[in-house]
Amino acid sequence: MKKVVLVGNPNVGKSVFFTRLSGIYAISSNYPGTTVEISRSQISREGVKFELIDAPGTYALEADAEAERIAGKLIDEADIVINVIDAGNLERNLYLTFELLEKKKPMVIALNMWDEVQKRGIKIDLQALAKILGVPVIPVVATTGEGMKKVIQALDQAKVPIFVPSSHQERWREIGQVIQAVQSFSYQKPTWTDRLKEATLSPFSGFLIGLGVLCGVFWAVRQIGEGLINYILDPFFYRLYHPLLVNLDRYLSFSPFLRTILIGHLVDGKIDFEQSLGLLSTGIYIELGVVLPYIVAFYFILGLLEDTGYLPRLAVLLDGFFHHVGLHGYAIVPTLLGLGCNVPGIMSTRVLESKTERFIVSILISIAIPCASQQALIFGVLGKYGIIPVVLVYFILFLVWIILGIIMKYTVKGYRPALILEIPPYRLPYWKTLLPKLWLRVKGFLKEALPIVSLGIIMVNLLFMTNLFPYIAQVIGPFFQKYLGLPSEVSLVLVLGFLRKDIAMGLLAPLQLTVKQLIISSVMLAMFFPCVATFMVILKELGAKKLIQGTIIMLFTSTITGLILNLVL
Amino acid sequence: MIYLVLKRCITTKSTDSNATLIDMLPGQTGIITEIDQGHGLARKLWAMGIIPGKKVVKVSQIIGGGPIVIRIDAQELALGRGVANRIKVKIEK
Repeated sequence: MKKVVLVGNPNVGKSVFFTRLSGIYAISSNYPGTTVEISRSQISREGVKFELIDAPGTYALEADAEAERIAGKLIDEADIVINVIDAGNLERNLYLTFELLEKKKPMVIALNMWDEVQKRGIKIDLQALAKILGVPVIPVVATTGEGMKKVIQALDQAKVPIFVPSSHQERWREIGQVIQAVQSFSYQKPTWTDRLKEATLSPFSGFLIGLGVLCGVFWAVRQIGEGLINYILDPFFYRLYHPLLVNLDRYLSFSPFLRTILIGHLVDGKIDFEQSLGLLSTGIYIELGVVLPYIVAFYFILGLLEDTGYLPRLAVLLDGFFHHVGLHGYAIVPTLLGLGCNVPGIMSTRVLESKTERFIVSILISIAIPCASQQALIFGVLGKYGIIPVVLVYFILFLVWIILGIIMKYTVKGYRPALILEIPPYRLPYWKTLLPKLWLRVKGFLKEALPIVSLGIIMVNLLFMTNLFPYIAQVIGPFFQKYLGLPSEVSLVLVLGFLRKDIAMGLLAPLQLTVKQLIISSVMLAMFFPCVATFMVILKELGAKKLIQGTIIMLFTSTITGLILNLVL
Repeated sequence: MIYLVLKRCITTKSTDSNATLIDMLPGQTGIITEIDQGHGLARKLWAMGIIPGKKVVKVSQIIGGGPIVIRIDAQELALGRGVANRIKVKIEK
C-alpha cells in the first residue's frame, strides 16, 4: 500500500483537506497548530489502496521544533507527498515546497483556498508553475470539496520534481523569480474583513472588542445551554422519562439491590433526578440533562470562534498580560478549550513550544479552569442563590490562576521561546466543517463521561452499603470541620469528585449546606484533584514525575485556598 | 550643547538604518535590512518569509508590553518584543 503524506505550512487547511479526501473527520480550525496528533486513514481508488497521513503543519524541514521533526520523518517514509499550499500566500508557502523538492519524492501540489485567491484578485498561472516545478499543480477548495477528485486522480501522475533549488542562500531569490513568472495582482477594494482586521488588533478598539467577544461567548453559551434545557431536555426528562422510571421502579420491586443501583433511593416518596443517585435517574439526568447542553453550547460557540480566525488575535492581545504569569498569549487557546473539558485543553498544550510552558499551562488548567461539568455544578448548586455567589466562585478561581501563575513564573525554571505567530485572515465559518467538529467533540464527551459517571454512581451506592464511607469521613472529616468549616460528608464528595465532578453535584445537593459552605465546596471541588481522565492525560503528556509535582501543587493550593476562604468569607 | 547632541541622537535613531521594528510607528512602511543572528530564531523567521529586502508594514503595537503586529505581503504576523527588537529596518515614511 502506498503511503501518501499531506505536508504544508500551519493553517493552510490540511485537516479539512484530509477530511475531504478520506471521509474521516479530522478537527480543523482557522488557527495554526490544530493538528497535534497525526491522523491516518485509508482511501481506495479503483481497487488501489493508499494510506493517507496528515502531518503537522510546518514552515521548514530542517528546524528543530517537534512538529518539524515529525513531518520530516513522515516525508522520508512517504511514497507520495501532497504539498498543500495556501494559494493566497504562495510566496511564503513555496519555501517549504522548495525544501520538499530537494527530498526527491513523487509530488503533487494542491493550491488550496482557490476561491479566496480569485476574490482577492490574485492570478496564478497554474501551467507555468507546474512546468517550472515539474509536478502536477491542482487548484482546490477543500472546504467545499472542489477539485478534490482531481487530486486523487493526480496521485498516479505524481512526479519526482525536475526543479532542484540551488543553495539555501539563494532560496528566496529563486522563489521570487518563480513568483514573478506565475503570479500577478489586480487591484481590489479593501473588504469588510480588512477593516475588521485593523480594528481587532488596534491597541484601543482591539481590547474593547476582545472584552466584548469574551463576554459574548459566556452569554451565548449560557443562553444556548439554558434554552436546550428549558425547551428540549427538561420537558423530555420530566414528561417522558420520569413516568418511564416510575414504571421501572415498580417493576424492579423484586430486587432492592438492583433498584438502588438503577433508580436510587426515593426522596419524599418520589424519584428525584438530582438526589436519588441511581444509574438511570441521577446518572443519566446529570450527564445528559445538565452537563451535555452546556457542552453542546460551549463547543458550538468555540467552533465559531476557531473558524473565524479570531482566536490568534485574542492571543496577540493577551500576550502582554499572559507574560505576567510567565506564559505566551497563545496559552489562551488551551485555556479556552479547558473551559469545555480539561482533557482536550491539556492535549492542545502541544501547540506551545517549550516543556516548561506546557507544564505550567496544564497545571493552571487542571487547578483553576473549571470544565463544563464543574461549571454546571457551580451553577447547579449556587444558581438559586443569585448571580453573586456564582461570580464570586469564578473570581476566586481567576485569582488563584493569577497568583499560582506568578508563583510558577518565578519558581519553575526553563526555556520560554519568543512569540512568533502567524495571524490567519478572517473567514466566515462553514457549516460543513463546523457541525462535524461539534459532533466529534460531543461524541468524545459522551464516550468519555458516561462510562465513568456510571461507574462512579455504582461505586457511591456500593460504598453507601459498606462501612467504607463512614470510615473515610472519620479519618479526614474532622479536618474539614475544623479548618474548612464544612461537614465531614463533604470530604467524601471531594474524594468521589476524583472520578468525575458531575457526580459531586448529586452528592452535594442533599447535604443542606449554607451558601458559604457551598462556595468553599465548589471552589475546592474545582481546584482539588482533577478527574481521572485529566489525571491520565497529564500522565500521558507530561510523564509521571510532572504528574506527582502537579499533584502536590494541586493539594497544596486547594487546601490553602479553602483555609483562606473559610477565614475571609 | 549636551541637549542638542542628545536630541540629535534621538532624532537620527528613528531614521537611520539601525532602527528596529519597535521604532516604527503603526502605519509606517519599511524594508527589512538585517536580522540579528540568534540561534534558531533567524532560521525560523527566514522560513516564514521574514527576510532582508522584504517590505514590511507595521500594523499595530499592543499595549502592556504586548507583541508587534506586522504585515509582509498579505500575511499578518505577531512578534514578541524581543524578536521585533532584533529585526532592523529602513523606515520609508
